[in-house]
Amino acid sequence: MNDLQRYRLQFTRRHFLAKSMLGLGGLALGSLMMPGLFRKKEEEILSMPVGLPHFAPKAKRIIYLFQNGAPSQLESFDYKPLLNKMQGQDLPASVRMGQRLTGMTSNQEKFPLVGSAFGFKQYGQSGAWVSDMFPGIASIVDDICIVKTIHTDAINHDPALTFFQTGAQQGNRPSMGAWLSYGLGSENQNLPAFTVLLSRGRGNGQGVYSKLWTNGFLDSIHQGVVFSSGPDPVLYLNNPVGHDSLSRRAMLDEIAAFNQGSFAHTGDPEIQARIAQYEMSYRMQTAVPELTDLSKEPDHIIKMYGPDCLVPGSFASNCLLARKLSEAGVRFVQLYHQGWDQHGNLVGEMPLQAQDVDRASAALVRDLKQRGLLDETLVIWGGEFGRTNYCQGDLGRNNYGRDHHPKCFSIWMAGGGIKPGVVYGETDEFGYNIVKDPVSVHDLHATLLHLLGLDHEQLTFRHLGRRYRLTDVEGSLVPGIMA
Amino acid sequence: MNTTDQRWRIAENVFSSVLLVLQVLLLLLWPFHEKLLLPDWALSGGRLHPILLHFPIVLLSMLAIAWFIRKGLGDALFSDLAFRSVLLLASFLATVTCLSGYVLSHKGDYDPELLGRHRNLGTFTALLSYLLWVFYPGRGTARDTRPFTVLFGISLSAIVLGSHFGGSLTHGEDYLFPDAEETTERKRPPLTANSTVYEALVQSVLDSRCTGCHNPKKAKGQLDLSSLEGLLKGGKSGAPWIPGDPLQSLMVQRILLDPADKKHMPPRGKPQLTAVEINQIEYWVHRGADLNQKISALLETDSLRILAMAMAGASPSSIKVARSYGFPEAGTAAIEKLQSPYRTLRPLYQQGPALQLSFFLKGAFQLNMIRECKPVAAQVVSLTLAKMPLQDPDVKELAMFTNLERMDLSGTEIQGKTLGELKPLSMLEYLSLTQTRVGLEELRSLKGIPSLKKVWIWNTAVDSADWILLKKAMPHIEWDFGTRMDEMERLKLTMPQPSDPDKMIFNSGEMLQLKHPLRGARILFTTDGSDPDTLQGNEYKQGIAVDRPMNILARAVLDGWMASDPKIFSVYARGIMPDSVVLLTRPNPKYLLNGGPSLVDNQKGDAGNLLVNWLGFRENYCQAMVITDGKKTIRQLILSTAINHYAYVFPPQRITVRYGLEKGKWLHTEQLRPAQPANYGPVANQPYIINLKSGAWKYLELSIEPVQKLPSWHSGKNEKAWVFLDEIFLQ
Amino acid sequence: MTPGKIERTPNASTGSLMMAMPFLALATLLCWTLACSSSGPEDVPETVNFNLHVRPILSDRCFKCHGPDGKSREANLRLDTEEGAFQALQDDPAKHVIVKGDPLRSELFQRISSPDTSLLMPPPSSHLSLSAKEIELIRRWIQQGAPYQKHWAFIAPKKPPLPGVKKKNWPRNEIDYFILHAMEAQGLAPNDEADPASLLRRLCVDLTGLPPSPSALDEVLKSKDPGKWEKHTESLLSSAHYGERMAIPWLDLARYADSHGYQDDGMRTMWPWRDWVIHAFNENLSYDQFITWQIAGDQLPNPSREQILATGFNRNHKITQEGGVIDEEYRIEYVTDRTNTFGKAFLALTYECAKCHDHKYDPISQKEYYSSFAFFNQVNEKGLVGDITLASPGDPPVIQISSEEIRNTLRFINKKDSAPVVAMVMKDSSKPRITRLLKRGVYDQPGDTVDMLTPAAVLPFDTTKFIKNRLGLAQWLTDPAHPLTARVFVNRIWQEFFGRGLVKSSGDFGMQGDLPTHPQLLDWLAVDFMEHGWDVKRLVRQITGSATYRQSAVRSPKKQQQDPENIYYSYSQRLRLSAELLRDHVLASSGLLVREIGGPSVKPYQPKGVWESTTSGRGELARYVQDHGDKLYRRGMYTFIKRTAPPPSMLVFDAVGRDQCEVKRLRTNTPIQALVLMNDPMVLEASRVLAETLVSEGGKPETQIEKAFHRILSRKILPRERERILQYYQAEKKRFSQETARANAFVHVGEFPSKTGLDQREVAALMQVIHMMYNLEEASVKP
Repeated sequence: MNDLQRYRLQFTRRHFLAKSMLGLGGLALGSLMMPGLFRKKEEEILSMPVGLPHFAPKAKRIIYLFQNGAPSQLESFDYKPLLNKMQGQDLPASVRMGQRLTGMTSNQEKFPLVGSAFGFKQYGQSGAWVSDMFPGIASIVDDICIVKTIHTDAINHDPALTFFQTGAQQGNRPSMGAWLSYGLGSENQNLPAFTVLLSRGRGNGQGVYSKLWTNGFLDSIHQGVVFSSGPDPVLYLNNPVGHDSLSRRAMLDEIAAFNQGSFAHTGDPEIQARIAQYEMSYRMQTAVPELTDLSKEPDHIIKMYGPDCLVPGSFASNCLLARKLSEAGVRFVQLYHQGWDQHGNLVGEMPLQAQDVDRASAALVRDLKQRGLLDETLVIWGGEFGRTNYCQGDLGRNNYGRDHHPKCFSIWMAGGGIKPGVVYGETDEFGYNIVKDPVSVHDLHATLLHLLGLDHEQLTFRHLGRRYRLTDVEGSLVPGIMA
Repeated sequence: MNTTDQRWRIAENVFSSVLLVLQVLLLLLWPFHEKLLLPDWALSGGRLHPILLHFPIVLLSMLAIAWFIRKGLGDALFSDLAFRSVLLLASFLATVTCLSGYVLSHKGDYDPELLGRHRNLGTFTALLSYLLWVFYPGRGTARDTRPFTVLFGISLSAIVLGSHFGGSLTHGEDYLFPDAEETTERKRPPLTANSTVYEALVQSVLDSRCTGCHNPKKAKGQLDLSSLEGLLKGGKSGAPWIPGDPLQSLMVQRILLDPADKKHMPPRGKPQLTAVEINQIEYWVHRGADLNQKISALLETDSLRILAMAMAGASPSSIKVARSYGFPEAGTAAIEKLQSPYRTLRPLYQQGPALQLSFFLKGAFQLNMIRECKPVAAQVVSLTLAKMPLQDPDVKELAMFTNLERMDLSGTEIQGKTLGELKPLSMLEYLSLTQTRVGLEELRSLKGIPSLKKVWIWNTAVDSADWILLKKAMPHIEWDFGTRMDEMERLKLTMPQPSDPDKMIFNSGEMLQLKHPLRGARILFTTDGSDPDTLQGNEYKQGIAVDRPMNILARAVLDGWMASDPKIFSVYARGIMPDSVVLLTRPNPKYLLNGGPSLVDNQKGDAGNLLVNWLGFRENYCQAMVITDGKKTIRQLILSTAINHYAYVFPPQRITVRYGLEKGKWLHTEQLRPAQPANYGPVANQPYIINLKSGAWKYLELSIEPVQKLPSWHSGKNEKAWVFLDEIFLQ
Repeated sequence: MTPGKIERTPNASTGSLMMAMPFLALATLLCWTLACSSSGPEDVPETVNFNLHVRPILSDRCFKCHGPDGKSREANLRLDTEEGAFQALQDDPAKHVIVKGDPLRSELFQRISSPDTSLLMPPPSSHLSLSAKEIELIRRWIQQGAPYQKHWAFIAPKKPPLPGVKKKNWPRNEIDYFILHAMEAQGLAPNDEADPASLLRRLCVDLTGLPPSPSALDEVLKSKDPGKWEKHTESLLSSAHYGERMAIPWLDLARYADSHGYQDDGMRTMWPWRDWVIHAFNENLSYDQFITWQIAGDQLPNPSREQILATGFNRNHKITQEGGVIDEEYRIEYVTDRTNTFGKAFLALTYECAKCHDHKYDPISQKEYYSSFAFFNQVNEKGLVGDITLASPGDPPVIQISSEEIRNTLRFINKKDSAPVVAMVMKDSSKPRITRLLKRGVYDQPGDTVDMLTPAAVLPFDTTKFIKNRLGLAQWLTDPAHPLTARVFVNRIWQEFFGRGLVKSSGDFGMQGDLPTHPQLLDWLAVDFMEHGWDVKRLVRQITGSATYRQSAVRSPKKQQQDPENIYYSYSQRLRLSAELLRDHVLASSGLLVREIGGPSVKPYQPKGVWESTTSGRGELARYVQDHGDKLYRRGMYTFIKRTAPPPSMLVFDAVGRDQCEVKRLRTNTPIQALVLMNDPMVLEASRVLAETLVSEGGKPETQIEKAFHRILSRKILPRERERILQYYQAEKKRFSQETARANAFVHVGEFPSKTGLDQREVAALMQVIHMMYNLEEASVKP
């Protein structure tokens, strides 16, 4: 091989390396300018495994104080002096506009207007009107946002309740809590992400149904788990008598060993999942009782919620428990308090109902606030529809009842991302129709999801060929109530 | 080699190398141009495209011509030095032009079809030109020049065609300068509550959708929407709106027209207005198209204000861009690795770098679990250690979370001696120390963290005096001292509860167990029906013996609280257990239960729910035979019934007991005619006590007659009443 | 310069070319590898099939606005029909939606591939998008002439020939040819036959829902008889438990429950109908009869009482007792429920989607919906008969079934007391009710009147052939030309045995449903099923007789990696027992099970307060009054289902609430399930009773453990397993000996009388061991 060739060869080799470096340099540059190249594609990112907010959330958790049976807005937050002036006069047809009525009043030929038997006063900087039955809530008006213009499609309890919880009147769609558990995942691996607390007041009750906390077509892991304070906080949680956590541990170790064996034999990945679930159940057994034991709460907290908070199954104790669950990272704590269905004897029953919930509801908001949790916890208080401005049946001298009214009613919200000290929306002076800023149940859902960092149009689940949403095909945000 | 030659070679090498880099880049961009992501400054690079493009076109066509007519030209022209280097230059320019083209196309909205063709031909040319340079055979060599010629031919036609498509794309000069769109955007001040509603709702939309064409430079339809003046002047078709009447307003009409319509604005292919944008313009016109109204002048709840504030960024949609974090992502792997049941590490939201870190289950906590988080420490913005057994010495471990904004140390075991260690947390805004033992002095060391906004300190060693001092010392911090309930407020205690709510019937020796949930509460009770106040109430200890039917009243009392209302426990003593009870008549099938035995099954019924635990009689009166072993002395027979007037359940008309030692041979008979109500009364459980001549009776025959005709005051007057029984007792 | 030097330049340039090329090549290569990695048109098939590849995309991403629903159709453009797809654009007649063979001139392709988001389809606002692969599929499909096809499910099935297979000796019957063919195409090979023990357990669970008896197990393990499996299958098919097992999914589908649902949720007595379903399966009533009776038994020529009882199927829906509801609103609700159930149960179509507007994906117009609605709209019923205070076990129309009648004809009804029992049934009112379309599906917004008809796209309702009533509907459904009925049913049966249907979405055969994994097999089974008189037991025999079914459940890593979802059935799927069968397994293996068939539903142990905390306080179901004695040990399917508070332990294991027709259950894995198995008194009692039995039988602990293992896991224990358990047993025994109090407490669970005179510590220890066995994953799966 002569020198020239050798020189060529070397030249070539050096040149080759040099050039290839350049080539790669070009690629590198390219990849710099086109991050997509080595990243997931847009649509892949869009369809990312759910379990994370779509964008930065304002709230991380929800506590929903559902007032089951529909408390009257006209005796709580929607002050209508005109009704007292027109006491006993018939509701002008021009106002009713042929609105459909329930079977209870549809055959009533007169619709005598009736004003609140309870006084109203203005409170706080917002000057919100609150009835004398709710002194506790009145004392926190500057922390809450009262929405007077919620309206719904249903006029009977079951469909209305189901609509509020699942976004549809019929069928078993996943409930709000299940959607959140699905959309946000659980914060604390040792507790369910969606829990339900039940209580019954002293008024006319309407019952609740397990379909209200169903996972619908979502994975059962998103099913609401019913909690209660007291000896048996979660179904099947307690070890059988004659068992302590030590012997339970021993048993679990045996089970795990054998399950590992069958995994080695069959290679079925389900077995691994199963082992994990047994471990979690064990952790739940340790985590839950320490949560649901309310007796250790300091006295001033007990005073705050009121003495009932130590009586298992009372609304007050559920509020206190709700705080503890939320504190421990439970995404959605759903309370149901029965007894708000005052078709008759409203004057007799409603004060009792109010007594049972007023102090504790206010205490919950205060308590969350003093723990710095209110910023990231969203509290909602309200029923499934409102009540009519006219009396059901004959108007007695000092007692009356109100029928179901879907066209407007009041709820209040506080905390995570909600504008405090605001009264949103206006109803007409009869308290019958909405005149400004209506908020539909779907709008409410959309807004709640939004505050938790979820786009209600993107939080979907495909089932039997259709993409389902909590907000079905509707729902728009309500900026006016968002901080 | 002579120096020119060498210098040329070096130049060629450097030049061609750079060229190669660009070529590869081009090759890469070709298939992936949609993925191109560029910073704004780079975009201006795109504006060079229209200038640049002329050079390669000219150069290449010149060279081409030269090549095709090479016969008539001198050798020198085709030497490496001349022709080849020019070729290199042309190729280089072509490539650069191309790249700038990609940048440009990335920005504007063009007819995708044309753009596509132009892109492909352009790129094709550029790549080709490189090959041309590489392949250049020189002239008069032995090598075959035809392929080169062909190549050259192709590239020439590519150039012509490509530039043609390009031509039909370009919109002339406003690419060289930044166009109206940006200028308008830039000179607008950010929207605030003090901006006018017009700026928020209308101008913002015009800027983003319209001023691209309707600006001073190219005022399509003689309309300039970039300024208020231009707007009010209107276009050739007149003023843009009629206050209060959106549907008659030109602007709204144009927007609402069918997109197919030529007059529809913005024209097809251009970005259209969103429903929200249309809606807000319409609504603004509807509300009188006031140009000077300030957002702040409107009511909080006014929809117009809400819409405007939404635009001004106080809106939900602004949340998405609300908080952008400077630091890089931690990477899923690192995050996954740290997940455990006792330590949750979650991104704040999808595709955001910020993380929140929480610890659960104090039993499982180890300091190491914090240390392990080092790799993601920079990303953690929120940290929860509530209730974890964290000690003062451990606090220094927290210093690594340099971007922390919110930290919850409530319920930990720290005393705060080492709070100074938190100094590096220069972003920390919220800190909770409640239910720890931190005191005034320790808290002073928080001075070192100027970013702190709020600190929670209730249930700590801090007393209200210290609190005042703190507020003085560090006024920039909001010190949350918790909600103080009115100490003087006296609340009424809840009533005592039975340990076993279902147990109302007691065998001899069994006791009624009571409890009260509140620590330290005492229970006072009476068994004689009197009010169990502090005077005559006996203090509850282990339980209350039940040896007969009793009404036990009990209250709870505790200092600082009002005594509870008295609670009544109606309890029964099982007494003598009969061997059997046989029904001689049939109850109503709906309320059959297990017949006679259910009268001594210790299952008390609740008069509120007659469907459970009750035997019901209406059609036939109730006759039952009670049989005992005849050994124990019997003095009393107690019959427990239900009263529920609304449900037609009344006291029996008459109760008759015949009894003796042998069946049928009755030695005695007792009768009882319970009082009948004169009006609706409460729902209640009602026991009837029938005193017997004491004796060890073996057989007792019991007959109970329901009321045959309900009284006139009752809604079901003259109908038959019901009788409901749940238990009978022998004493 | 010397010529020599100049001479070199070309070479030099060729040199540099020589060098440049590899990098360009390299670069290009890299580009394409990247291209594949990020957007993979690599696995786009050569020839694109419309039904297989294209319609799913169009349906899922386009039909919502460009589909069957006329009202919501955009730009008057529809892609679900051939006409629509090739028409000119409404606002640019020059352009066409699709130009055969020319993607670039097809607006469809232009739009889905446009970089301009204002033109892009689907619009970003829809949150839908097409992947590069999907775009490529459509491009290629258009290029290949954009051939349209009728939706596969609406083409009546034809019996395909058996495909060829390489592994000739494997197939046992026709099924296997189809399965093996697909498997081989994937380069997969079937597993070996499962070991006898597993296979027996699998058969017993699938055919009776109960574990094999120890004796049966021994027999199988001993027997050398090649025909033993057939023998066993027959004996299982003839066992009365077969009917129970088959009934369970049917009860989900028929939304059977023991309460009316809705708020006060009073009690109903539809259990005689449930007894009939069990009876019908045991009698092997042919499927066409089975459904005809349920849909229209009352309209058959002089119908028997049994046939009338069968129509209870359409009265199982929820019925309100909420005072103050609007009568008509709820009556419509009931008819809607029947219509939707009809669609889902028999046609596997999402009928409900067409209630308020034309179906968005499938060819069911709103008008057609109400035409089907009309069939069920004739019942003489009320929306609200009476609120809870007047609650009745059944609103009219009903049949009263007397004891005497049961003695004579309806022997299968297991009535306990002397009082006659009431069951709701179908009965049309004498004068036909006019049915009107309901605008937006709202009961008080009637539109045009509609006639009794069915969706034409499925199979036209030929009025010359079918009568216009439910009977006609049943005839239409069971017509041999019907494309769905048989397919839907065989698919559900397949699902029962393999855990997943050949069509995974067993409730949706429409455009949005999954495509069949083995279309030929599905058609073959469907046609064969019809050809042989809709014989259900025969179908079951075919499945259990197949080599496919008999494979072992072992997944090699290769298969796990290549076929994780077992789409090709290259191994047998281990499936967790359903809620009911879990209970049955525990009761049966412990010897507690009361093997009585049918009768009123029972109320076994249930945690305190489940009913009480949810009830309105009204009605006889306000409080849960637990049963005693035998009623505590009945099969899971007889547990009383109160709709507003179904048995929690069942819900936890994915039982459905029976609110509406369900054709498929989830099969999930949650910590609460672990808690139930570990703490439910039922399981503990069973462990105790079995322990007592074994201890009283005497023998060494080893043997006792062996027996227990044998009963619970239906296989022989391995020595090392025995070792390990024995150690555990000893440890527990030691613990209980030290804590006798605990031992006593532990063994006093449940109401079943405990055997006296046994060593409490031994019982406790063995009970503990057994309880552990019940909690093994293996114990709660079908192997």
